[in-house]
Amino acid sequence: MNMLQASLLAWLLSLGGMVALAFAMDRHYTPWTGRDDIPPALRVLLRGVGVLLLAGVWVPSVWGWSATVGTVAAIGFWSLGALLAAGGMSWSPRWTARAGAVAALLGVSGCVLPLLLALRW
Amino acid sequence: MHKQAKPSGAGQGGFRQAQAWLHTWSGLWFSWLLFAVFLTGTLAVFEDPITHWMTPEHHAEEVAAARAVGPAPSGPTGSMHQRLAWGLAYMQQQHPGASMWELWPADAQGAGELRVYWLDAQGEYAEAQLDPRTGEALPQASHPPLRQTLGGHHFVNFHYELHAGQIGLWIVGIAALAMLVALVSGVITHRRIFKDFFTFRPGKGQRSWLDAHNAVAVLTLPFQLMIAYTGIALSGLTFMPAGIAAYFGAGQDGTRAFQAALNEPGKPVRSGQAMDVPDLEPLVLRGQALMGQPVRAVVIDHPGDAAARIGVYGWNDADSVRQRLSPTSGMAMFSAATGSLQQVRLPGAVDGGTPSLVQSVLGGLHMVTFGGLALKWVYFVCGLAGSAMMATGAILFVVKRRAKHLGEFGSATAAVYRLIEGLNVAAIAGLSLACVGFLWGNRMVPLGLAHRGDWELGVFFGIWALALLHAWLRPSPAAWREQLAALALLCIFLPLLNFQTTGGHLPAYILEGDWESAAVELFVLAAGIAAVCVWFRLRRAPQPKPRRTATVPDDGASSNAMPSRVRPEGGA
Amino acid sequence: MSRYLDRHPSMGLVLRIVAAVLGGYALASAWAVLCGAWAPTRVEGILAGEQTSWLLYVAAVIWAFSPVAPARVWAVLVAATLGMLAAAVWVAQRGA
Repeated sequence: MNMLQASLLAWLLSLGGMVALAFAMDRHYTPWTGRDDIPPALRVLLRGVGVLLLAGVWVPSVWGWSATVGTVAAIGFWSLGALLAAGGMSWSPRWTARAGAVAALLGVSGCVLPLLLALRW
Repeated sequence: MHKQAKPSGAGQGGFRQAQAWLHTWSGLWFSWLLFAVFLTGTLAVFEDPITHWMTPEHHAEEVAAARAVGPAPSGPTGSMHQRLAWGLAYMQQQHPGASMWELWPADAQGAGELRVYWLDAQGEYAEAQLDPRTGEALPQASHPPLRQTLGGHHFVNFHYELHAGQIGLWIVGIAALAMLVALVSGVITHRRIFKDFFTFRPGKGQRSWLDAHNAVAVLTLPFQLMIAYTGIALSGLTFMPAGIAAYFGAGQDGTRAFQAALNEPGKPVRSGQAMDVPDLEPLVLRGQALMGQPVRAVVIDHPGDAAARIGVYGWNDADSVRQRLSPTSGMAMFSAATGSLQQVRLPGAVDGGTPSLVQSVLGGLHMVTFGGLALKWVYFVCGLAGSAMMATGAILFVVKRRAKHLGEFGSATAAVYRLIEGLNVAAIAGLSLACVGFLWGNRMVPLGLAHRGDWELGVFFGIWALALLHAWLRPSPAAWREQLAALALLCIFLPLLNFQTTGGHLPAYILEGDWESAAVELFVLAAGIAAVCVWFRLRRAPQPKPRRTATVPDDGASSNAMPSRVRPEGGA
Repeated sequence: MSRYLDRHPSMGLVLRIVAAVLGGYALASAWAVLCGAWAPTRVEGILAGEQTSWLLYVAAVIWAFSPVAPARVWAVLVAATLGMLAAAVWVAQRGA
């Protein structure tokens, strides 16, 4: 995995994770759905998914760089994802939710597919 | 009881409240300087592309040279063996008594320039360039290039020393420490730091400014803390000489002794016995194999003495940038007399212990020597966020007090607020104007002018000074609108100016694959568009509400920033 | 002392600022000197001491502006600085 691919995947995973964490908060869930409180089960799910995705940022980072450089890169991509999530939420929670979901899917498949392909051969 | 003048808020109230006071004032007084340091530091990430855009003639020469067909007319350049031999011969003839010789025989591909360095009688570095085809010394460049310029290095130099040498370095260092204090006190003050995560509510006046300030600061907090700390630690021994002074003595001698002990622990002493420097090539080959890198430099300590030692240093390649935070290269040290290996240092490692390695990593972290282009962009975005953090903080201070005069300076408060408003405009809009003005200067200052680089610098500081004057002469809302308009115009018309003066333009850059120049112009255009958007919002914004004083009546000589009259309220 | 400062709050502010800026620097410097004394390699100790001293400096400034009387800020910073210097002298002499 070259540095460009690693950057893209890390950023996608970060965006997905941050958006998930954002919607797990009452303050951002309410404007999106119009409901008062987020159901506890959904909050746990979104938080869990968010944390997993954010932890997952570390995977392409270390893969594309190294353990040390990748760790620093991952922290940087967390910030980038958070900035974009915050900006997106204030512009349009609906579109940000969609973007976050797409980003998460693309990011995860971008990491998992090469692994599966490598295992096959 | 008759209310007295409000006591200063330092150390007042609870811990959080006291820290809020500290955050406000340590932040505000340094915000203008820090914004300048931070914005130029952000631009300094892309020093090379900016220099590239600012030296189009240099680029054109390189393109022409690359297009030249066949080898150079006077034959191919020397092999490694020849280059080392020529370098050694030159040093033996010209500088036999120097205490150190340093040969840079070739680039990572074994071609390119052949340079030699030595320590002169004053212990200063001196250099010469040799022709890689013949080994003859090349004459020093008789005149500087037509478009002599500092290039992107202006932003680097301004960033860490304000073009003011040691004094500038200290000022920036003090500001960096204030930044750390502001960051820590800001986190302590921010009670709802997790609840406020991702929150940004636009169009709500003071609330929006606070949201923006919190968002850009908190979401990039690891970067901000790291960059401020590493910035101080980079020059840490200059700022904190206590340890050196205590154990090695104060002043230059002490520092020199300390540096020698830290960096050259194994350096041998002269034996007094004469001995020619041996053939370098076998040592270079062995060194390259041990380090795993092609040779960059060969350093000979005590040449001509039997106790001489020869250090072979390597070129870091793209892989080092991927793998390691520490930017040091590989090194192999040999005894000149016996050829035995004294020391091997792998790329990324240091000659000393953990603190030395930490120092190297801290330097790498601050200057983003690792990770390639992607990490440079990460730093660039985080740097812009940090600049926004400072700008929104300073603006928030003013916006909050437009709604309610807080009387922190007694009867002088209105005047101080006016001063701060002016500084805000000059520091934020004015500095941005100066930065793009620097690029305008690069295209407009006549070619071939003596000290042309200094003239360009004059344009930068001159525009900034004019912006400061303008900010104080004009009422604050007008000052903002006018300087933002000027910024927008300079940014948007820069590509046109470039085309007019050099013939270069964006489509050509893209077609040629000159992404560096293209990126510079695209970013400037984007900044111009952003300035236009902000200008539009300012035009549509309602007039600021009349300021209500708290307990201290305004002295009537209202600052001309406020369009409405102030109405003192009761309690005086 | 505290009554004087109540009537002259700006003096209290000045005392705090001087304590934070100069006292904090002195404290950080004393720490760097102490690290130089007790580290196995002197040069590395000096370097490590300087690298960590900044954290101490920031902490001192933060504390100097917390709800503590300026007199106490001064007393603590001076005592801590002198204490560290004394410890450095003692460790260095033991090692020498």
